[in-house]
Amino acid sequence: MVAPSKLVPPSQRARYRSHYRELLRQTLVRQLVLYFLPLLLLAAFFNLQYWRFTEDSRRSHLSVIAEQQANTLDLFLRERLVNLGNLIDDQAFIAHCCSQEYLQSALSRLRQSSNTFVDLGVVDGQGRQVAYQGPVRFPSSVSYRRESWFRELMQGGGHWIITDVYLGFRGQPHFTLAVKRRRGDSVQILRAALSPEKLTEYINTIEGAREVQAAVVNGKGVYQVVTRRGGAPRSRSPFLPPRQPPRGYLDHPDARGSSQYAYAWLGGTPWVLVVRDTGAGRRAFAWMPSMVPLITFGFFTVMGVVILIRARQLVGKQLAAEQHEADLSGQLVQAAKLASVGELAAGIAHEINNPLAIIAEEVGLLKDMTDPELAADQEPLDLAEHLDAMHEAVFRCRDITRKLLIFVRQTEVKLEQWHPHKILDEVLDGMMGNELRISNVEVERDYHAGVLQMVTDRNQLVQVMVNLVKNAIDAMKGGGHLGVRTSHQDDHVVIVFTDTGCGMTAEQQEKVFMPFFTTKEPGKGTGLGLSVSLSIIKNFGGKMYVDSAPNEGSTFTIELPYEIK
Amino acid sequence: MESVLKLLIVDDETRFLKTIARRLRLRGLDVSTASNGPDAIALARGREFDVALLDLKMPGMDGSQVHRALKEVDPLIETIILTGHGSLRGAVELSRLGAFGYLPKPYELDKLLDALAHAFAQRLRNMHAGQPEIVERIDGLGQVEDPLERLRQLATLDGGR
Repeated sequence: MVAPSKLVPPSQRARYRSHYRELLRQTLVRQLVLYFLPLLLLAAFFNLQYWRFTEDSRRSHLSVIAEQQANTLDLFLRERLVNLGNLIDDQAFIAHCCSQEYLQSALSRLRQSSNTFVDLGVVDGQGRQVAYQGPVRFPSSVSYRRESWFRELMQGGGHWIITDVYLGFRGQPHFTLAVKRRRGDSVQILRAALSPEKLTEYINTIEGAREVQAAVVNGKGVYQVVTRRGGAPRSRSPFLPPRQPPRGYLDHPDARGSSQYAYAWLGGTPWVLVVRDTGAGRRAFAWMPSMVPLITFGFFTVMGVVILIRARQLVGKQLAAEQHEADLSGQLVQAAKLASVGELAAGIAHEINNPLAIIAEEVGLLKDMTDPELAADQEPLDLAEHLDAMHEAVFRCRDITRKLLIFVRQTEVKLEQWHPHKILDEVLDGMMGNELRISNVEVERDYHAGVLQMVTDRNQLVQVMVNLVKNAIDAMKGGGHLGVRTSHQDDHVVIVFTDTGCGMTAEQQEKVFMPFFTTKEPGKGTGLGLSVSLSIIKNFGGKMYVDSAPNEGSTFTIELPYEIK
Repeated sequence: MESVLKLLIVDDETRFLKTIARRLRLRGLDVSTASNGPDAIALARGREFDVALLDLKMPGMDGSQVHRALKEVDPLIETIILTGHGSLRGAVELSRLGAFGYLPKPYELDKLLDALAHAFAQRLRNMHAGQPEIVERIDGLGQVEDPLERLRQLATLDGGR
């Protein structure tokens, strides 16, 4: 694709601009893919890794909290059980268990251990509360026989039980610790109500910096201890982690559909401590990953600008190179033209010498006639006849030089309407006429009547035809026959040159259009003619090809579109 | 006036033929003309010529082919070939051909006469090869400066004209 130069018509300059855009686009895409893609992949990879890392970090943070706090809770509850156990095993209790005074002092002693103890009660094997010390006013005789904790304690093999948080007879949230002892045939149970407030405070402490939310949930998914922020106590919680493994982090939706929290089941009671991130906690960890895309984006923008600049540079360089190549190509065309002119010049010099010789002799004769020695008894000259002959010879010279000059002059490409037959005739009769005659080449024209005018640059087309005719003449040493036939198909003209010359081998046919390939002896041909002719025809949007066989002549065919595209 | 030289000129430019023939006849040469090869050969078969002046580039038979044909008719005829090239290589080729010499076209008349004189001298040498005195006199005539004069004197040497 030839860039603008003097030899390219304006219509091709528009093509040049779109060519530039296309080239720029391609280069940009290539550069972007080359540079951006790996960076993008790398950035994505690192981002992912970082995210995973922070995730893991968060997860283990929560898991650690859950485990540690669950342990602490466990310990707390165990201590309270131990308190009760000590009391029920105390000899003094066994002796004075139903005494109000005793119970009162026992309760205050318990409360010294931990002020979660609210009250104290002694229950017999049938569930009747036989003694009570505490703030609650019970109805006369309260029976726990139907209470599930009583039944479980009585039926189970264990000696103690911890209940869930419930309202019970008193109508206030509390949970019960109870220990059971056999006294001979009967069973004695010491129960104590504990206030969940302490636990709630405890949960609050865990929640401390508001990074996490914690709650204690029972085996059925009901909140036991929960902060106001987290939910309503004794309501259904969205959490119900699996029993196995007893400690862990939940990544996927559980039975309730919630996901992503750390949990740890307590050892003593079927309670689980659930810890999860609050939004604030997430945000604290999340600031980095959100910075990274921003930084990456900024970086990519800078890179994008750099790439754009570079792409333009590259395209500019490439276009300069193409321009240079086009210039060289233009120079080559001109050089080929001049070289073929050099070849023509020999023939033309010969041509000019004839009329010059005529003039020389006519002048010489006139001078002779004025020489008395020579002109002695000669008939007088018909002056007019000799002067006419000179005149005619002069104009012959002029025509010859003119046709050479026209051929040589480097003109701008001018696309005009020409009839191919007219151009052919000009070449066959005018420029190459004499040479054809002298070389004994018989020319036979077979013009198709339907061939129309075409849009072309006359000078370049003439250059091609002169080249083909000259080659034909050179192939037919001693003379021959040159057939020139035209025809047309749809939108193009077909011109065929057939000679009866020495022909070409298959190998020569392959190379014949290549620059600097010639079958002539050194100094007799540049080898540029056909390659330049081919590039001219191609520029016109046409085709040129050859068919030949050794000693059977050659046929060169040119196909040219009527309109140059 | 007896003819100074029997010359045959072959050139496809008829105007030129006519004029040069006239000029040479004014100077006493016996000039015959032909505008193509076959005509020239026919003429040569009909009569004797000393020198033939042949244009190289002609349609039909070119100068070198006419030269060969004329040599077949009379091996002792000397030919001068007119060429527009004037290159050294051309000259070498032509002398290999057996032509006596070449002249560029257009030429100065003096140079033409000079060449004709030399060609004629060579023909006479070949014709009288067995007669050393004549050959010596031919060589002696080489001193004469004016070619036309030389031609005249050579003509006298050629007995039986």
